[in-house]
This record gives sequence, C-alpha cells and structure tokens, in this order.
Amino acid sequence: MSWPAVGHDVLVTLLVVLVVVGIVPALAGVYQYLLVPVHGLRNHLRRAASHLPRVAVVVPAWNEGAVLAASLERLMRLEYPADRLRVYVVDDASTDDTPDVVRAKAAEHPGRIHLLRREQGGQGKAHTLNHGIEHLLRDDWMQALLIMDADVIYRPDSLRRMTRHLADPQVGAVTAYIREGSGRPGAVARFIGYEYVTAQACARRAQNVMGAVACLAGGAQLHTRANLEAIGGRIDTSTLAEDTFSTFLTQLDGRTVVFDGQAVVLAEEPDSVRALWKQRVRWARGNVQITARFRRTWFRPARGHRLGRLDFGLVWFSVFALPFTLVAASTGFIGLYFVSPGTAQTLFGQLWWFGLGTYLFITITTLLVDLDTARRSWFEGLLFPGVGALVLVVASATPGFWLDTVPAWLGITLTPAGVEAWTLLLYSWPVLSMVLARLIRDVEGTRLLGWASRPLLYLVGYGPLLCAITLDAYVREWRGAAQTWDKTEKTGRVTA
Amino acid sequence: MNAHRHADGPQAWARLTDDALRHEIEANRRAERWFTVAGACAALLTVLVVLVVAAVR
Repeated sequence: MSWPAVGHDVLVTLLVVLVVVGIVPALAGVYQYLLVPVHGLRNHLRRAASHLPRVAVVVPAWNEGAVLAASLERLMRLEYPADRLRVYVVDDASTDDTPDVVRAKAAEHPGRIHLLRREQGGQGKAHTLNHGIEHLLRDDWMQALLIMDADVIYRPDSLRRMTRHLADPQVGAVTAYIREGSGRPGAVARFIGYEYVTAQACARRAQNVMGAVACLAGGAQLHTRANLEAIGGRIDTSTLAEDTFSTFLTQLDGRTVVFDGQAVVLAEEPDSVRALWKQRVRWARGNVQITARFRRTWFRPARGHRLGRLDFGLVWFSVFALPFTLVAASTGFIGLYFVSPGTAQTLFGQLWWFGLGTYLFITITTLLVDLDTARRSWFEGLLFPGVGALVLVVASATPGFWLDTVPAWLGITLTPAGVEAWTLLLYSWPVLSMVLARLIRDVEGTRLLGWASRPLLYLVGYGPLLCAITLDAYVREWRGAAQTWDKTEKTGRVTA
Repeated sequence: MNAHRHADGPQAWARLTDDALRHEIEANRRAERWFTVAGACAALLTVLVVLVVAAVR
C-alpha cells in the first residue's frame, strides 16, 4: 500500500472519529434519561422521615424591592412550625426600597423576619450570603440553613419536603425543583421552562441514582448546620459557581446531596436572549472554574464519594464539551465530504436512527414527567434542538425527502451544485446554528431586525443557543475577563 | 383504617404530625413511580417510531 493511500485512510479514520466524538454528548444524555425510570423505584424517600429542624432562611438581596414582598409572604405561609422558621434578608447595600420592604414585612411578622444590611456591597451573592451565615453561626438556634433567591416563590409544602431528607444523618444538603413560574411567559421563558424539566426534573433524578449530584440549585438549597460548618462555615467566593462549589465540597466530605423533585419552588427566569446570555455566561464560566478546581476528582473513583465515577464524569464533560463536539461533528462530516464523500454519505445515513431515537426518547420523556410545564412549553419542547436540527434528522432518515420530494412539490430540480450546497449546509449546521445564535442576541431589540429574533430562535434552537453562550463564556474565561456578578433583572411576574 | 384516611391528603399533611408527614412521604414515593411509567412509555414509543421509519425507508 502506498503512503498516500495510507495517509488517506488515516485521515478518513480521524474524520470518522471526529463524527463519533460528536455523538458522545447525546449518548450521555440518553444514559441519564435511562436512569430516570430507575429513580421511580429507587430514591431517597425510603430514608426520609418526619423531620422539622429549626431553619434559618438566608435571602441575599440587591434592589429586589419589586419581588421581595411576595417571596417573604410566601415564606410566612409555609406549612412549617412558625417557631422553627426565621428569615434573614441580607440587603447588599440596595439603592431601591428593598430595606423598607423588609422592615414592613418584619413589622407584620415580628420575630420571624430580620434585616441584615451591608452598607458596602457589590461583591456578589456569595459575599452577601456569608454576611448572613456569619451572623447565624454566632448562636446555636439554626439547625439547618436554607439559601434562596429573593424572587423565588415557595409552595407551602416545599420546605418540609426538603427537611425530611435531613432525617438521614448521611445527608448534608437537599435541593428542590425550581420551575419557571412567570404568569405569561414569552418564548425564551417557555424554552427555559422546558430546559428546567430536562436539567432538573430528569437529570437531577438521574444524578440521585448515580449518587453524585452536580449542583444544588442557587434558589433552593438546604444545608444541615453540620454540613455548613464542615465545608468551612461559609460559601466559596473564589468562583462564579458558588453553588456547585458547595455541592462538591459536601460530597467530597462524604455526605450525600439529594434532589427532591416533589419539593417545587417557582422562579422568574429571563425572557430575553440578552438577559439569558448574561446569566448563562456567568454559569458557564463558573463551570470552567469548577472543572479546573476539582481536576483531581474527575474519573478517580474514591471510597467516600461518587464524584469520581466514570458515568458522572462523562455526563459532566459531555455538557462541558458540547460546543466542541458540535464543531467536531461538523468538521468530521465536511472533511469526509471532500476526502471520502461516499463515507460521509454512508455515515450520515447510518446515524439516522440514533438522531431520531435520541430526539424522540428525550423529548417524550421530558413532556411526560412534568405535564404542567408540557402544557405551557410543548411547542418549545418539540423545537428545542431547532427546526434546522430537525431538518437534519429528516435528511438522515429519508435522504430523498429534501433532495427529491420537496423540490418536486415546488416544481424545481436541484442542480449538482445545489445538491452540493445543500449537503454542505446540512453538515455544517451544528456550527452554523451556534453562529446564528449569536446573531439572535445581536438583532434582538434592534428596530430594523428585532422582529427576526424570535423566528430565528425557533430555527436555530434553544440547545444550540446554549452552546453558543457556553462557547462565549469559555472565550471570556480564557481571556481572563473580570468576574462580575451581573444580576438578572426580576420584575415579580411569578404566579403560583 | 379511618385514621389512615384521616392522615392522607395535602390538608392533612399540613397538620405536620409525624403520622401525616409519613403519609406524605409514602404518597410522594408512589408519585415517583410515574417516572418509571413515563420512561418506559417514551422508550416504547421511540422504538415503535424508529421501527416504522426503518420499515418505510
């Protein structure tokens, strides 16, 4: 065999490997979803028991005047012994009427709501929380600490459904299910609502089964006092992902983190791509920092915890590396198109069942597990990967549909150049969708093209939008951009 | 049996007695089984659709 032939075969093999790398995140997703039914039979509720410890609720607040009153009132209506619940609002030097709102509520509920004010703030949520925690640890009243966001609305049964897991002394922390709760959600909020079903209701149940939970929800996390003291008596301030940091420390110390999907809280989420971008860039940068900080944990099974499990690592890095795997898949297919077009066509055609099966299994499961959200967000659920990606799935499953059937309907015939352009468009879509996602952010709110942002969002898909945001975050982290806590604006639109 | 019925349901659970909270836990455990059903239905539907597409392809 000649060297050029060997070189060609090696190149083809490498390109095929790139395509296979591209499907690994989907495999990890399917794996997680296969664990969801297991959770129905095997979950921590068998070790939960009636348990109502003294709970201090810490609410960090900066200019939350519009949303705080409703949240505080809901906390006062929790079905929980009144003498075992105290709320501490840590005002991070707000410039609006936040302190007045808290004082008014404190007057309505004497002894139960307290204001802790920082005269100089702006350092971020973790610092604000630590101000409150330091105050609470001075005496021994608090047996458990609930961290929440100012806009989160708790259902009357939410807290006791979290505390019941603390009856198991092995448990260090519990997190609830945060549902998107806007009264009249727009497209972005509906996409987020669906996303939260996948990322919380399903993925965290899967993580419960794995015995390794990636992240306590920032708006609803309950720690035992013992756990809080064991992880240093404070929240980490060195990363943008303080919630994930606490989650990892808890588990590395041998204590369990539990997700209770029956403990539901409602939150207002961003309803514009720009606001979502700001929020998720922060989260993604935080995840980069976490990945680096805990680098000695990945894929190293250990006695006291399960964060080093192979499956947990694959799930974590599948999400982490998703933008790169999309680039790998496109690169592989486009490269094969030029180097070995037959291989490209065969591979593309052979993967049809995988693409279709993954989409159907994940979408149907997600819509079934939370029927309330499904009623609001079924359309966004169906178009989560985007119209473009669904066109790709159809092209793979029925090769003649777009090349012959549809042109016939339109009374046209594709030329060879047209077929080539179409094929390259399909192969490059995973990358193109991320580029177009960036465009959505840029045109949103502009006078001339603002109207195009929503149709473009459905074309591109919410999944690729998240990938584009993640890529942006990685670039910023690599460039060493300043770590700023860009607060998501809330308007108090949550209804329950 | 009457005591069991009396301790069941969200209103009863709100009384926060040990019995009521135990019943709530049991009710939530039963509710979790829906996830097993949902996952199985989704898997079955997926396999069916993929088989149909494979047959007509």
